[in-house]
Amino acid sequence: MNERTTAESRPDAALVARARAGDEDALNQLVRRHNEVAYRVALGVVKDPDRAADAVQDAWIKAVRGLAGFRGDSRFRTWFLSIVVNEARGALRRAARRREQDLEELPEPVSGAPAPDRRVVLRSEVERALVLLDSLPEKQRLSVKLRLQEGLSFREVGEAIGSSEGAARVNYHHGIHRLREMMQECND
Amino acid sequence: MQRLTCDAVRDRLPELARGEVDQDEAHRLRNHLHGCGECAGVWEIVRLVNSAPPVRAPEGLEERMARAARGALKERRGGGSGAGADTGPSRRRRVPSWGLAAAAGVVLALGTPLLIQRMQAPMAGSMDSASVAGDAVAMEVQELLPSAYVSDDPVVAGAPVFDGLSDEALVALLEEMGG
Repeated sequence: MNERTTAESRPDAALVARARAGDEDALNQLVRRHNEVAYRVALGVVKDPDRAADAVQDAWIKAVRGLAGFRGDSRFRTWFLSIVVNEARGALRRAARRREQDLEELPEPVSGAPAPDRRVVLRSEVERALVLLDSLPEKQRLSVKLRLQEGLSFREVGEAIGSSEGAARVNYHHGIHRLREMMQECND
Repeated sequence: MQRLTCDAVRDRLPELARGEVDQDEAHRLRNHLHGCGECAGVWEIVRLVNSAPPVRAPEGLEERMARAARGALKERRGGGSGAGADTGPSRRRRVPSWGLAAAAGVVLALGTPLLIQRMQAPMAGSMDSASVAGDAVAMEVQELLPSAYVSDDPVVAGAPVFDGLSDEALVALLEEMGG
């Protein structure tokens, strides 16, 4: 993990420096590298593709404006994902306020897995696991997704979701434990 | 070789699922999983989640994001707003630097005399009756007991501070004040 982190960080650091100096090509490369994971993480928070896309766009804009403040203590990806999570949470809060005002129904969660309230036969255990993963509380859900699906260390997970490394580890293990319990309940 | 704890094993299962551990570590982890039902159960969940195909971003999203990012970069360079930038409340009004200096000067010019006036004047017009009475008491106390420390501040003067007064002196003061 350390070697991969270092190898990925070096090119990112160079791109960040060039982007900071106004190099649009470097910025395009950063977007190409990190946009997919940013979208998945945002989707993990807001569970709505359009809101996820908007949150990621706002995050890119904020990141570009804040490039001067990125000190390089962490990987660019980790720093950027923390911005994405914040923007996604903000989008969720705004959506909740609008729903209270408009009395709209909750959007169906979309995260690459069938929604839990749809009467469909889940063809595989993987599908079932993803559906149940989406039902976990936010920090457990994000900790599991960032650790398992995006390969972040516990320290990086903590940075991305705004908690300590220890809390990220606890959230991850609780999330896995709860997921396992729910899978067993489904099988019973 | 040190025996692996369950916590240590479970921490490394994501790396095992992604094939990011060396052969030796993989061997030790799998040995543990063979002998530990709990960790084997956790491994099953890790393997399931890890095997899910990654969610792809919608078609065209990358280009949209790149456009927004370039727009923000242009704005940062002072080149005006770029296409797709600023979806949020980000417009800034540019105030010339001379304007800020002029505003500061006006504040100082108007505020300084007012401040000095407040400091020098006895605040007769603004003092309430309690403050005026307190000031008179302070003066009376100072005449009776010159050793007593009395604050010059008319706001505080309602409550003179007696440092080191004896009980007898205090009683005498109170009798003089009619208390």
